[in-house]
Amino acid sequence: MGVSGWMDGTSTATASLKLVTTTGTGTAAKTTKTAVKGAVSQVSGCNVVFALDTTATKLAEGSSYEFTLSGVPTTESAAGGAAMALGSAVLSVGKVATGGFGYSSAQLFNALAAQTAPTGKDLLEFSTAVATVSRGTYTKGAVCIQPASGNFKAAVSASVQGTAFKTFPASLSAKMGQASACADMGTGSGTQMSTHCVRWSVVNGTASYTALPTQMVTVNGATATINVPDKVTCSLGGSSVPIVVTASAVPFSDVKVSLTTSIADDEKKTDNSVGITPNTGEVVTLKVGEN
Amino acid sequence: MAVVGTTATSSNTPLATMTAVVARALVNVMDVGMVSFTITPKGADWGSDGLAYISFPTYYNPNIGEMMRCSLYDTKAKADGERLYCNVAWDYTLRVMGPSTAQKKDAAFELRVYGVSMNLHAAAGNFGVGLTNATYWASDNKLTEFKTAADTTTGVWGGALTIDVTSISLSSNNLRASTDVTVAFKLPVTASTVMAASDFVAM
Repeated sequence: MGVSGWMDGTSTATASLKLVTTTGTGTAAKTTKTAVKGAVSQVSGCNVVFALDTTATKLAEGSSYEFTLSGVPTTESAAGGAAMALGSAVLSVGKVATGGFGYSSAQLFNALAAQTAPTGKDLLEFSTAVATVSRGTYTKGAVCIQPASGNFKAAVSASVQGTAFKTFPASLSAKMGQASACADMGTGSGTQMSTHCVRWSVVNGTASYTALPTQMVTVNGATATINVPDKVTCSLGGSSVPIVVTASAVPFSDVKVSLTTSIADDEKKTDNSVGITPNTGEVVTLKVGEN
Repeated sequence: MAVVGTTATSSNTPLATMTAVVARALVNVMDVGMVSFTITPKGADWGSDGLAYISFPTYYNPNIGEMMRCSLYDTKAKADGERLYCNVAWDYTLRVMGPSTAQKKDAAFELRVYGVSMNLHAAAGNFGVGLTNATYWASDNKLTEFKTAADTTTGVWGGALTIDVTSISLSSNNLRASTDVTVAFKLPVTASTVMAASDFVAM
């Protein structure tokens, strides 16, 4: 099952429990289901605990129950979907104050059916499972989308959700017949140096393709360099000396570079720029999308 | 976790004044439970550049659990706060990425790890709780603060008879969707009545 939504809290698990009682036999048998009050008290990527309310009648040995777990994200990978029958689920009961006192046998658990893409749709994938981004900059070609097999059979566009991560261009677009569509990806300089679960929306092409899986993006703190020439030649009495400013990476937000006078660290505070007066407001702006 | 090297250049003598206290929930063998660490950093705030490395006693699973969920816990609201990315850095050692909002030094915060495979131990061991920041770790692989914290008392093996699962059905078998899982089961009657009065169901 796809569990990243539970791990990062973007999706919520809910559950309900019913006591199942059967009276009578044969054609006179009557089954009654009575709700047992409770709520999900603990959840991790692949485990959910449903704790009974303090007022609820506790579970009894010899009794039958029906447990329904809702909001379970299905698997995001084709390989995982095909292997659902091999998954081992275990159901347990116990006491919240201590722990479990009864478990089902994983080997005897009924097999789960295989999971596939909805009828008429093909899988859409990222070219790599994990993208790496240096915060404060855009990483060139960090993300590419492509069909699980072959080329795009229809025009597709997709964009990243939320505001923490942006792509350049903002939307990845592929025409029918294209093999993939790529974009630069970036995040602000204050983003956590961590691995982030990033979600995408498929905007165009939803009739032919599934949603994209959760993208894992690792953010590192590698810093980029702003380059300026180490010397320029000025003409006495002249002006308009061109100075080329470049950056080693595309900035995530505009970077402003200005020319200032150089004062030495010695006791005299020697003016290394004597005779040169930079014009006020001489600022170079490296804009998003250029370096 | 080795914290002190044998040479001056490899030595890692992190600040040892921080405090760390462990608590656990659902601790019986085969349980998938929760381990909580109440940590008070003393050297620096623990924020968006922060990392925590937590070594588990070796009677835990080397993978610690499966698909763990790490979270800051709001002790006043009694609810989980920010989710933190965590993974197994190496055997028995969990790495937790710092939160977007810094946890201030000298103030306690509670870090919860859900999805831990519980065990049976003869004598409680120690967790090694280390804090550092990503930049220092990337260059030196060293901690800035470290403290051991004792595990709590062992759980028990509580199983007696197997729960009989009579059916399971999913409302949807589509990839990348959401489904409801319905399981019908019957609790067996055990000689020791260990399952009587159970107050949780887990899956």
